[in-house]
Order: sequence, then structure tokens, then C-alpha cells
Amino acid sequence: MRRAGFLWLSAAIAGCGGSSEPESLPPLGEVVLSIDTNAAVPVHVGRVRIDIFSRDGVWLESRDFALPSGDDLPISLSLFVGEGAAATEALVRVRGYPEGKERDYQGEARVTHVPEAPPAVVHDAAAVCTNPTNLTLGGQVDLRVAGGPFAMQLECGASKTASGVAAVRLQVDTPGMVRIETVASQPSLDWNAYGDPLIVVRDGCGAPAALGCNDNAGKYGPLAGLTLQLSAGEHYVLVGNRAPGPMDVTVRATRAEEWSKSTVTPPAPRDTGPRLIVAGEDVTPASEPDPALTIDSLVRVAITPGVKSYARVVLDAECTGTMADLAGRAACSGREGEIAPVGPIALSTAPVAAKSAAGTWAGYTPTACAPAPDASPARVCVEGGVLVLGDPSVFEFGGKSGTPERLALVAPFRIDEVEYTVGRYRAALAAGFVSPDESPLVNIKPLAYNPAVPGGQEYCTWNANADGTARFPAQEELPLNCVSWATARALCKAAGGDLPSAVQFERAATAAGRTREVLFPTGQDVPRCSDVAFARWGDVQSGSDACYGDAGGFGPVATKQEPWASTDRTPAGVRGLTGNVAEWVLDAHRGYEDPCWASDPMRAVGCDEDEAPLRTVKGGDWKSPAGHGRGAARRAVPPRLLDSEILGFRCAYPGDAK
Amino acid sequence: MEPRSYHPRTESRLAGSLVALALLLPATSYAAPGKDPKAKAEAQKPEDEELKRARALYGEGLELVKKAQWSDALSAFERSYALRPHAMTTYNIGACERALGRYTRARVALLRALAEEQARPEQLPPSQIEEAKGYVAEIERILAQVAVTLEPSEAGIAVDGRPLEAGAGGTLVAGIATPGAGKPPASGKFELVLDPGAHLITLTRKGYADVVVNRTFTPGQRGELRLELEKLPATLHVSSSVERAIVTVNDVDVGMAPVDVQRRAGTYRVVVKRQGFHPYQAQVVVNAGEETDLRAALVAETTPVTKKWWFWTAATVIVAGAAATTYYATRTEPDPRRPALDGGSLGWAAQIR
Repeated sequence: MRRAGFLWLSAAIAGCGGSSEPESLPPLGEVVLSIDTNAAVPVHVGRVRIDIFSRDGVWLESRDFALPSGDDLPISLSLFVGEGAAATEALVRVRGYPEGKERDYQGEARVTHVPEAPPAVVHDAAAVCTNPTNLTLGGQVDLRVAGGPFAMQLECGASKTASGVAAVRLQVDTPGMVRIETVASQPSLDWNAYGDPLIVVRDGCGAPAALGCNDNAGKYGPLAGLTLQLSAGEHYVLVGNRAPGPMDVTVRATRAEEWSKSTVTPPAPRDTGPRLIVAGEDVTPASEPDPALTIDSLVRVAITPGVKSYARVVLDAECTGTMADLAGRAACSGREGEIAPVGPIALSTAPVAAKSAAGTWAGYTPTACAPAPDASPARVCVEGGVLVLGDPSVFEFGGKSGTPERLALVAPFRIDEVEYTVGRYRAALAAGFVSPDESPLVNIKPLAYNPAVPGGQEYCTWNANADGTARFPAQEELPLNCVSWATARALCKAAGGDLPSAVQFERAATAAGRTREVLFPTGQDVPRCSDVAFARWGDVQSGSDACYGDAGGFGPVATKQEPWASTDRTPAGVRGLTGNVAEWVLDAHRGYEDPCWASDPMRAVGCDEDEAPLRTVKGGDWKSPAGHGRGAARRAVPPRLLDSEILGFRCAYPGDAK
Repeated sequence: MEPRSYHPRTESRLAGSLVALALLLPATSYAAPGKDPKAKAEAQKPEDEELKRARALYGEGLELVKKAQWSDALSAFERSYALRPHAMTTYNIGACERALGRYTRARVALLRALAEEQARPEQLPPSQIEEAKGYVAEIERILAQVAVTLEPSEAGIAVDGRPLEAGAGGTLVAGIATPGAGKPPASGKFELVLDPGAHLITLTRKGYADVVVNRTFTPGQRGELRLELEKLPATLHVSSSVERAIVTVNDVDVGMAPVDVQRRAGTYRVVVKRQGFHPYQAQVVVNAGEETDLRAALVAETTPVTKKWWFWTAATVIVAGAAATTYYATRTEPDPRRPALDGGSLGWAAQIR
């Protein structure tokens, strides 16, 4: 309106002067590319990386943009061809990822995670020789032995196996000295009370006499192995665990003269990927979005000289973690884990709609639990939703345990408000529960600090008189500890549930009831002694005394004891996830890069395996420093660890149960 | 319970040997004093106390080992050793360090155990001597060793907050020395031995801020590592008081603030601009390896008189008359024009060649 007078006047003057409009040239060929996402901004997509390549794959430009809020979307840029240029095509890679989730530039070709079945387990002694694993000289095989008890027992001198047995059929073409050995075991012999291989070599799988045996390779290395003369033909290597528990073991056979102790394989050479060269200088970005958390899109854009057109790219949250194949010109098809060749993007002559789809992905909808069968407050509903599993700042000793992170969608579920208690176990026994093993261990003394006893049965909470009544009634509300994974799971099943998965635990701990994930179940800050029962052990050297004595107390606390019951509590109402006792969860313990985790679709992230040699434990405990209470922290523990005074559990239940 | 090491398919036996030694230690390690009864009586009392405590700590360490509480076990063994040195205890210290993934420290302890055994034989049983040698050989395959070129060579270097210590064959070893400031190596070229995994390498030079380089090494890695302070890229972090502001560095558009830009050390002209705001301009000097933060405070433009509608209306009336006159007097064909490039909301028009 303000300029109407000016425009009218200008037009009038121009009209007076006769028609002399400057000649208008056609536009340069240009495509305005609009970028949007249905992912939440900025939690799921906080930055956008845009890389532009020529038709023949030369990297032309790369920029990275912050998206502080969904109001910033859609964003747009344009691609054009210069004057006199012919029609061409550009390849544009658009990646949306959370702020800070980057890794050093690797630029490798697309990584696919192929599901990998865990080694088969023989549970029946009669079946050990039915279908042995084949092995040839120069090769190695992975085996898993069951946890036992097992009817077949291998012997080597005074040593005997206490768990299952697996058989290997070894083919020898020409007679000679052969080295047969176990090159790795899990539990490794750091946990030798739970995994300690013994091998026996026989001419026939069921032959009564052994050609040789070993339970300790001595000078050859730290695991079992032996060198012996073998004739041409089939021989059998039987492997068992001297300790009572499941075990994974890798068996290798070589000709003695070719044997090498080294099992360290050099890393495979990596594709260094394309480089961005501008004016002769390599300006390739030093980092790139973490593929596991990135929505990776690839589009082909045709540009016609003299024509201006528009196109729209939507980063689909369903494609999170599905890495595009730049060299192969393929990207996520719209279904997680699937890629398809990228066709030319649709162009229009008018600008595309400006309204953003940010945050509309169905995966975000917090799905509530079905109404509970009764109004029991003992179980808390954890709404379904999205979780970034893991955290790169969480480390275990010697290796990373929180990486690579990945997105997980969690269905609604219920979880015990507090850890499984001594009193609850007494009630389960009264209802007819029978433990599958000797746990929980019984302690005939009341809990008391004894610096001469660093840990173990002395601090177990389970107690009973001969008639099953409580020996120490004051301990009934303490969490039940000194319990195996199998017993914990059996108790949960008896209660109509199961152990929570690692994903369920982490969602309850860090995400449920919050707008963004936090470090501790108690929030973003490191907890204090008055908030959480941790470091209540008097050992200055190990740093587990910060909350001992006057600073807090000693040992585990009753699950509803204040102030911890109120302060170690998530917004959804789950108590004791940060401290008191650490908790068994359902999953086997493997690195998140292992196919067992990495090949799972985001709606079914987990790693439950039959007879897994190590299980996952989550949550902090009364003895360890606060860092173990991080929601993303996890520990690897043999499932038959019976005397851990810091290890308990709680149960989870389906959220849709009526 | 401390967190346990997860060593998929690579680790080997530790606790087996440690637990086995538990039975041997009291009999072999803390032998009674000499035969002279007097000397024995004099020596007995304080030694007994120390011996008792050393044994208790040793036993505590073994209990902790059974539960793979390596950090606590290490502490117990170290305290035991402080009271009563013994090759077996040193061996256990090495085994704990190995379990904790601190291989350079483990190697030192295991070699020391072997040396102690040589100095005072029969402290370690033969099988343990073999085990220790086996571990040392295994560790040497695992350790990364890289040829470092450090320029300038007078720069101090520390890895994970510890200076380097001289090792065998003229190497410098990371992870052994007590925590402290980095020290310059004897030469700018040296072999660095360190544990596999991620390490923070800190380079210090008088008058300059510390430069921290993060590098990850794979087991058994060999290769070169060039630490040239002058050539390390500088990081310039540019943020803005206004969202969606475009940042250019030496007239090259680098994206929207906040943005990290890596460039060689030098002086750069940074411009941050957004429509409706006065552009922010700064000359920034960045040093090699350093991170520099630059926050642009953009000030909104006030509407000048030239943006008032009446100004242009009046001006047009005046100018139009003159223009019309001039036009007819000097009439020529106008230059043809192309529509301006769009560039989208990012103001980024990328030419495809």
C-alpha cells in the first residue's frame, strides 16, 4: 500500500515515455531444492549436512547447517548451470542427524549389517556327536557350550568339564604334527571361574580313548592347546568348560610347522571415500554424521538451461540408520534397512508447499499402556517411543560399551516400581517357586560392614530360618541380590513378566516422561549421596567410599527408604534405577557394533541369545562410584555369577496386557 | 563390583594364574627371617606386622580378582607390594594392568617381575615365569608403535596427561610415567609405543596455548604420526546472536551459524550476515591446532529515511521528470538482463559443472 503511489507514478511516467522495457533473457537453468523432514527437530535432526556432487561423482560443495527449531524448516538452496552450459544432473546427498552425533570422516562405502546366528548349542549329551562342526587345517570355528549340568563329561588328568560339550570334526589330508588349540573364550579367563576350556582329541567322536587332551596350553599360550601326530582322515576335537556356565570358544587347527601364536589381524584397508577439493586445496570436512543415527538421503536433480524449477526432499525418520550408497547411487527406499536405486527427483514449475512435516513421524507417538488389570501402584507404565541407545561418553574398562549409538523404538511396557525385594522372593517361595540353581545365596548374618571381607556372600540380603520365615525381618524390603540371571528371569516369568531388555531399561532410565534424554535416571547432574545409594563402601583406594559412613551409610537400602526412594526416581515414577543394586537385563552382552545388535531393525533392538556366555547388567549400585548409574552404562557379567552383593533385578511386563 | 572388561574373542587367561598363585604365596613369598635367633627376634616383630598386613592385602587382591574387580585388586596388590616387595605380587600387578587394558604398564610390571625373579630366584614358579614371558610377547604384538615426527622438536609432548618415558630400543612409551606436564623428546623423530585405543596427545610450547590432538590406534598398529604444530588445522567456531545467519570465511560461504570451520593457521576475514541485520565482520587470527570461538552479535537495521515510502514517492516525482527528459534526449536500447538466481532460504546457489 505504501508504495502504491510510487508504483502508479512510475508506471505513468514510463507510459508517457513510450514502451522501452529492457529485453529479458531466459533464466539460467536452476532448481530450487527444498529440504524438510518428518523427524523431530532438533532432538532427532538438529543438523543437516548437504553434499553436492556432479553427474560423474566429483564432490563440488559441502555445508552443514544447524536447525535450532522446526520453524526453520523447510530450508532450501538452488542448483544452477552457468551460462551456455548444457543440461546436466547433480547428485545431492542430504543427511539429517542429531547435534553432536558425528564421527571422524571415514567416507567408506555403505556398511550393511548382516544378521549372524550365534553358534548352535547342544543341550543333550546324546546329540553332541550327531552333527559336529567341520574344521579343516588352517581354519578355525566358533563353538558354544551349554551351561550344564550335562550328562557327558570330558576329562584330562585331574581336570573335568562341569558344563556342556561341543564337538568338531577335523579333516586331515596328510599325516603329520598338528596343533589344535582354543584361541579365545568368553567368558575370557579373566572370569576363569565361569569359562575355562578343556579339549580332548579323539579318533572317533564317541571313542573311549583320547589321542590327547589339554586344559592349559602352558608355553603355547594362555588357553587350552596341544600338538600331536595325526593320521590322515577324520578326527574329533571335543571342547568343554571346566567351569559351570555357558561358554563361547574359538578352536583353531594348523599344521605344527605353520603355527603362529599371533591372532592379531591387521585392520582391513578402508575405502577413504571421495575428497572435496576446492581451488586445489583439500577441504574435505573432518567429520561426518554418525550413520547409525542419520537419515541419509540421496537425490538426482536434472537441471535444464533456461528453466527454473522446484523440487522437495523429505528426510524420512523411518530411514534413520539406513546408510545411502553414494557410489552405487542408491538410498533408503522408505523402509528401514532397504535401499533402492535413486531415480531423478520430480520437478515442478511452482514453488513447493512451505509447511514443514517436522515431528510428524508416527514413531514418536508416545503410546500409553493398556489399563492395568488392577490399580496396583507397584508397576509403572513406561510409554512407548523413541530412544537413542548408548552414549559415546560411557566407557567400560578397556573398551567402549556405549557405542555405536543407534535409534530404537520401544513399545509401551510396565516395569516394577522398585527392585525385586527379599520379601517378594519369600512370597514367591511360599507360592511354590523353585529356583533353577542354588541362588539366591543365603546369608546367615545381618548385613554389617567388615573391611576384611571385600565382597561376596557376607553381603547377600536373602535370609531365612529353617521354617522359611525371615531371620532378619528388617531386611525384607531390601533388594534381593546374590542371584543368578536364570533365577532372576524365572522369578520374573513366575510373576507374569520377564527381565526388562536393555532398551527398555534405558528408555525407563533416560527418556520416559522427558522431552529429551538425560545422563542419569535422576537427571542430567551427577547424583549426590543424599539422592542415590551409591559408593557406600569404605574403600578409599577404589573410590567407593564417597557416601560411606557419615556421608551416607553402608550397603543397600530398603527399596522405599527415604530420601532415596523420592530422589532416585524418574519422572515416570520408577525408583532405584541409579543406585542400590545393579540389575540384570535380558540381553546378552556384546558390543553394539556386533551383528546381534547392529542388524536389528529399530523396532526390535536387542540381543537375547540362548546360553549367552555373558549377560548385560545395567544401573548403578550401592558400592560403585556414581558413574555406573549412567542410564547408558552397562556391564558384562557371566550369567552364573551367584555371589554378587551389588547385583539384583526387577521385572518388566507387556504394556498391552489387560 | 567394578565394570568388567569385555574382550570378545581376544583376551586370555589371567585369573587362572592369579588364583593359583594364591596358594603359593604364603609359603614362598614371605619367608621367615634368618637363622640367628637374636636377629630373628629383633626382626620378627615389625616384620610380622608388615607381613600380616601384606598377606591380608594380597589375599584381598586375590578375592577381588575372582570377581574381576581389577582396579580394586590392583590397588590391594600395590599396597601389599609397598609393604613387602615380591615378584609374585609384581606379577599380579602386571596381570591386573593387563586386564584393565593398560598394556604398557602391564609390560613394565611383568618384566619387573621377571627381573625380580632373576635377582631373587624361586619367587615365581617356572610355569609363572613362562606365563609372564608369554604375556609380554602377547602385549608386544598388541601395542601400537608409530614413528612420530614432532615439529618443532622443542615442543613438550604428553599422552593422556602423562609425559613419555624412555623404553627399550630408544622408544618412548606412553602411559607409564606419573601424570604431569609433557616434556620435549630428545629428538623430533622418535618411535612412540602406546596402548591401542583412543588417546589425547597434548603438545605444549612456551608462549602458545596447548594443542590437543585426539588419535585412535588399532592393536598392533604401525605407521607414522606427524605432529607438526604449524600445520595442524585450526578450528574456528562461529556462532551468532541471531539464528540462520550466513557465515563466510574469506568470502567463501561456509554455512549457517553455528558452524565449525577448519583452516590452516592464519588470518581470516569472517562475515556473518542475515537480512535485516547489519553484517558482522571480523578479522580473526587462528593458531595451529587451536580452537577459536567467535560470536557475532548482529544488530538489527533501523529503517533509514530511504526506506520510508514517502521519500521515494517524492523523489520519484522529482527524478521522473528529469529522467523522462534525459531519456528522450539520449534514448538507446537497454541491456538485456537475466532473473537473479534464487538461492533458496539458505541463500546458497551452487553451480553444477
